[in-house]
Amino acid sequence: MRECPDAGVRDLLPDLLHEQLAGDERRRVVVHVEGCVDCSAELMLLVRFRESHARAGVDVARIVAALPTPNANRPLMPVARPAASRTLLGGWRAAAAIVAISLGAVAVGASRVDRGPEGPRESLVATELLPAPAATGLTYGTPLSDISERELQLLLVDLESLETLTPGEPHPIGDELLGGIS
Amino acid sequence: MFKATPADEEPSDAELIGRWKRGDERAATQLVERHAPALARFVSATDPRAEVQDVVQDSFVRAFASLDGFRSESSFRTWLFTIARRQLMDRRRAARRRGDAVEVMEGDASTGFTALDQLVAEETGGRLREVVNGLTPTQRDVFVLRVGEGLSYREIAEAVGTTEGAARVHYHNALRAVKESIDA
Repeated sequence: MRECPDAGVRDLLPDLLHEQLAGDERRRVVVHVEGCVDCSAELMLLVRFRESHARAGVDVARIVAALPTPNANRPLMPVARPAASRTLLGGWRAAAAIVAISLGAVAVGASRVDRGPEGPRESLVATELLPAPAATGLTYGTPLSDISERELQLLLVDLESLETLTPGEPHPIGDELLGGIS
Repeated sequence: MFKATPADEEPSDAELIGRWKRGDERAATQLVERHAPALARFVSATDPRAEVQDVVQDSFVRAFASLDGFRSESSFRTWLFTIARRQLMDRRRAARRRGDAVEVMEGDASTGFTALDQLVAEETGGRLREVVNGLTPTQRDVFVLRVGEGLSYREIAEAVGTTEGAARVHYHNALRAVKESIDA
């Protein structure tokens, strides 16, 4: 089997085989092949190999079942958070910390904002494990370790939405946690 | 004989990957259905003794587990071929360590035929497959990707870890070797 001296055309024969040529380039190659014995033979060789190319079957369902879940690629906590007022930030940070930490812990830490003459000041105090707030639909007494990831995310969204509360409105979590923030 | 290919109206790989990251598991099924056959052909053609299902499945699992690191400049299929090729190389190395198989090294194009192989080899397509399997590993991979799957030299270079120019040289050397074996 001889080689056609036109290396440019020979280079494009696999592209012609896979119908990846278009327009003038395709016409040029087709016309050349139809008039060149060597390129016709080479193209037929490529066609025969492609036809004989193994048709190994695979079980698509089994592959899909083995794939990791999409959630494995996403962070657990929401990344973007709306701006919060200084008087409430410590409280919501405390609530998020309680929920996040309590998933595997017995005792949790919470921060408390003390409003003294020098302005709001955070201090870390120990407290007991608290049940989830009712605003999310979770009832008091529901162990936080039983909360699903979806419920946790809803809880965090609820907590952030509470930043819109005006001062004086009761906090669903409880004043004992927030240290009586007003 | 030569027809124009109609425009692809299906979602792109990038769109499907984005949907999957947002929790749409049907997007994963579409990606697997789209690329598994080509991957299986490549694995089967480059290593007839490989467990095709296992290699293809492991390739997809590794690809999906590291999608955050996938650079959209290269195609998803090319990336899959790269992963599969590395897997095959790892498996061959492990088989060599166990003393299981004789690896055809670069520069050595010898083949051996059993009686059954000879029967199969009499059929033209089978003969071609045997000849291609007798190429050096890199020539074989380049030839299969170029002729079997229609990858460009740039994509082949990325999949086998070489340059575009070297991929072109490997292809033409492989083709020359195949022609000489067929004519012999």
